[in-house]
Amino acid sequence: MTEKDFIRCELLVLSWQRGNCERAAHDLVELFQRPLLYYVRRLVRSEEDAWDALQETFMAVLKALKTIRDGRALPAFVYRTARNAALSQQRRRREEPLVEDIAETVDEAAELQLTADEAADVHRGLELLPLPQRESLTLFFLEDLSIAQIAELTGVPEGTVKSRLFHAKRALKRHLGRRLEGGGHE
Amino acid sequence: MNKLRERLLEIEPLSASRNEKLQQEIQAMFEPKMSRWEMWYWGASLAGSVVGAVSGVFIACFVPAEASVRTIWGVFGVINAMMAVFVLRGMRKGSMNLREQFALGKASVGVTLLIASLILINAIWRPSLENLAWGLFGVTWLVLAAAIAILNRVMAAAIDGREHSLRLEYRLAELMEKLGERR
Repeated sequence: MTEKDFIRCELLVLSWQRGNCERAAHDLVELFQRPLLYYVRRLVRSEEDAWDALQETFMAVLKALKTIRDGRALPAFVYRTARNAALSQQRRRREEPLVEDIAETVDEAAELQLTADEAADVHRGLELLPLPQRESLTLFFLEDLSIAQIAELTGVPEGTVKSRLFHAKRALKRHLGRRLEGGGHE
Repeated sequence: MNKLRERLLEIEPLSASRNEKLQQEIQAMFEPKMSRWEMWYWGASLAGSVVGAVSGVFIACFVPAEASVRTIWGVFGVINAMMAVFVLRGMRKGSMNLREQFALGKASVGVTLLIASLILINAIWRPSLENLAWGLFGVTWLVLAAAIAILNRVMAAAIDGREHSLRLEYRLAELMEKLGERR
């Protein structure tokens, strides 16, 4: 998330406090809809479920907006709400649980330089990863949260997040390597 | 902004129908359907406004009193009639617009201030025991309404100041971003 986006978060909280609720809601959706949809879509099985979770998220955030004093805390709050909504969706569908620990830890996340041209392959590659790794890497790519915030959101230590990123990036690298060997981008 | 992030977000399809549904849900949130208790609350407000409007207009038109006193009652009656129309419109729709509710809250303070001032001016202009008693009543409401108005103004000024500085910060961040892109 850029400095501009953080300032927009603060402005929308102020808009709400001023009573310009519809304006604040519009800004909230504009700022978070796409990244949240991308994130939630990686957590649930179907597009329908992702939209249901997204709708639930926005409703919950808008109801809670009056309690938020620091606009900079908004992204972490929005993602936490979205995660809870996605978990609820999963529970309703009785699917595999999201939270699952990986014992192995590493100091540094694997170095993986990706370009915008590889986005389509990265997007497909994410689907092949186990859920905890997929979630961490998705959040990492979306750049709205720091590693510490991802750790807090997912309820695991920072080391575990780094470990998940390491394994996820390694798996993604293998996937990308295979694709390149198999004839490059589609 | 990271180009990979942007490309990833572009890949994810944004369903137009679901997006429209989301917008409708959000819109509906600002015009929530009234619950039974809210209907009672607004019903009581409507009854109070109608009583206020009828009393105000009746006293202004038919009760033998000083012209200034009748004017005050007339203003009171007209404002209550406007309030009654607003509430009735909301009740017929079955929902209240939040923005209009906020505006109504602000207007109420202004109206109280206006009526209290009129009562006070009348007491000063035509001093009598009765007018002085009304004047004292007016002063109490004047002080209360003024305190609320000042508090609202202070809070609004704090928000204005913060908003102004944030807009400047935003502009600065935008310029820095453009500068970074050029490099």
